[in-house]
Amino acid sequence: MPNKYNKKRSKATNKNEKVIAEKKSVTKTRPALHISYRRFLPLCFTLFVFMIIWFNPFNVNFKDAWYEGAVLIDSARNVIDTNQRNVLLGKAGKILTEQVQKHPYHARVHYLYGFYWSALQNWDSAIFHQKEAIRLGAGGTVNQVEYKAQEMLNLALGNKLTPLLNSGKLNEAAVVLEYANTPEMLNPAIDKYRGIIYSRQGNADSALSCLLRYKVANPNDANNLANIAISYNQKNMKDSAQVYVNQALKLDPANANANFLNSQLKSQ
Amino acid sequence: MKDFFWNKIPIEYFFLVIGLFFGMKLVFINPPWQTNDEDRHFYNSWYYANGYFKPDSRDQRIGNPMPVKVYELAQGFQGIRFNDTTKISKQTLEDIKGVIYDKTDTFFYNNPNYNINPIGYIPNIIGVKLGEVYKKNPIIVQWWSRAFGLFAYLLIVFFAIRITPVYKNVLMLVALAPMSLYQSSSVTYDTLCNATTFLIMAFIIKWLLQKEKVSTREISLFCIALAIQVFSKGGYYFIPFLVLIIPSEKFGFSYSKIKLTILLVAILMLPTFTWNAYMNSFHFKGGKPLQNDFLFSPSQSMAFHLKNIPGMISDLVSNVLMQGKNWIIGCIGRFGYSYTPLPDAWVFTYVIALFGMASIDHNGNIKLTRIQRGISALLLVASLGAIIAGLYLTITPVGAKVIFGGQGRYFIPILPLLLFQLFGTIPNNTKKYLPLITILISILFLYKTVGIINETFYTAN
Repeated sequence: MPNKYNKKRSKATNKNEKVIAEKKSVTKTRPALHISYRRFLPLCFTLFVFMIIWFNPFNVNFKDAWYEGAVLIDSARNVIDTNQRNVLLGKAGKILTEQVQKHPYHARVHYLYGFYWSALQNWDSAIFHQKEAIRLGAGGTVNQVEYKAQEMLNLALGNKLTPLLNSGKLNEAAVVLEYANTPEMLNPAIDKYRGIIYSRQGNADSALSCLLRYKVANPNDANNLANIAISYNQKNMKDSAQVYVNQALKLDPANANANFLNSQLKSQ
Repeated sequence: MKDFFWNKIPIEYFFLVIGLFFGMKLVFINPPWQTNDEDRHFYNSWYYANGYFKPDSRDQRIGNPMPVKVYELAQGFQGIRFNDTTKISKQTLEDIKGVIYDKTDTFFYNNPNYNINPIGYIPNIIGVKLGEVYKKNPIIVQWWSRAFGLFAYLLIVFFAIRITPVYKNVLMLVALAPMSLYQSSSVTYDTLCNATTFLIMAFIIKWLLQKEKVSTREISLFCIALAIQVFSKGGYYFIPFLVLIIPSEKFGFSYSKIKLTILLVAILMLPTFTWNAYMNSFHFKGGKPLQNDFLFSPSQSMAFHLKNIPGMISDLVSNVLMQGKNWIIGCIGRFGYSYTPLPDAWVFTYVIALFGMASIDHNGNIKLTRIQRGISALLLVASLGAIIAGLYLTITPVGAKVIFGGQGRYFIPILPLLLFQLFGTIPNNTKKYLPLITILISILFLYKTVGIINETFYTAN
């Protein structure tokens, strides 16, 4: 509680402090801080470690072997010179072959290896390894590999099937297609090719069932719309065929199948 | 010591005001579900707030029903690259505020994180509950959830700074580091984990410096903080053992260090014998893995690396040298799924400020013995080693050399222990200016953080 006495005393103290302060200003009573250099050693050591980590003077930079392989494939794709391209692909193949043997449980490694086989246009091996990537890797929440693997699988499948379909080897194409099926992940492209095979075999009902199912997943695939039109035409349903031909030509006016069928339908 | 205005008010109040101001800014300015894993933490908080404590199993899927609109909206904000053409428009956020979710319109969400316990989410759960009372809009509920995480963080760290007699400035700089505040303004269990670790450190420093004996009440509070920390996030098992540097005489019971060690081990094992045992009792099969493109198996990784121990050590050191800078940046300021960092120069300056402050923020009343420093250094090495080795063995693919998925924010709880190595090393007679320096650094860096987030994530409108 402040009272008269305390007030007086505090004033007196203030005066004293003032006097001391004035004296101090003349005599500089604050002692200089003498610090041994040893006191700075922990800070210096910490800063030294920090600088090494921050500036990475040893240029430490390394990759996992499977990504080294992926980088080589990527480089090979950007090289025009065939010899150089083959050398890069050869190196990538060596690394990835070893990695797939060493780590057969990694979906991502199978995906990269399948990518390598696609670059070599070895479609059978590409299909096999993309299937493995989907089998092992489907269903993750982050860093999903299965969608990219399916994309690569379908690319390989298309390249494998097209010559078979064009040369009329429909049974062989059906076997390839059956093999490429992935129970772990729905692949609408399988329906597309199955529909084409059925259509070529003259089984228009089964073809339509497959092609229309594919259309749900890919409504803007002009080739598929043209194939649907062909199947309707096989069933002699000219009006439906014309509808799908028109849709296909709207999406791709240069589509060969659609144009051919369109001219046929108009001439009838 | 001359009383400048910043010395008249205890620094913890400055912490509270600065933390609240910039924290609330981050709550709203950080785009919805952009903090790492925030979408999944939000789903868990929502589940617990709505009474789903027991996951259900349906056709190899494990989870619970979730409102369709909550999931769709949260997913709609994922995978944004935040380049010049793909930013979030503030107008879009305004429009989305009109969406109301219906708890009867649900789907079965196959939850990859169904086994995470609710303790770490307590503030977020309260936020979800109150947010739903206000308006059942996913973004608004998420803001409430974030805000309550922030309040809990600020409150716990406020007491941490208040109880420690020295090192207040260091704790404030660590707790208000851009990344620490960004995490605490998000829906995540990191909030409670970080805050309780700071509190644990504060208790230990207080006990080290106080002349009186440590009270039973304080030991109980320490144990509660540790329990919350281990339930929130595992992996920081060595930090509480710093209590062993406190002289035995300060505890009012015999064989204090042995008893304390047993107590700490018991608390650290609590989640194993409670929540984990509860989850294991369901014998779930199937479920959605978080990541499946590689095989992740600690036992197989260990078996693989034990074949070449020198190689493993060399890999670990190389990883620190190669990824260390990124981890440091991630610890101070790297934001969201897009990993937008603070500029290098800013992070560098902040780290230097932390080291400087850690060396001079003391009152010179205590000098640590060599044994105390040795134990402290050993615990730091063990903590860092455990985190790095943990990342190497658990979330790195089997057989990989490069540590995968290591983020700087994992090191935030270890930061006070790291800085403690510099405790009391350099005497100083300018202590009166330290609070002002701390306050100015905090304001400057958080101002920059808010600016960067606003600039990176949003379009101009």
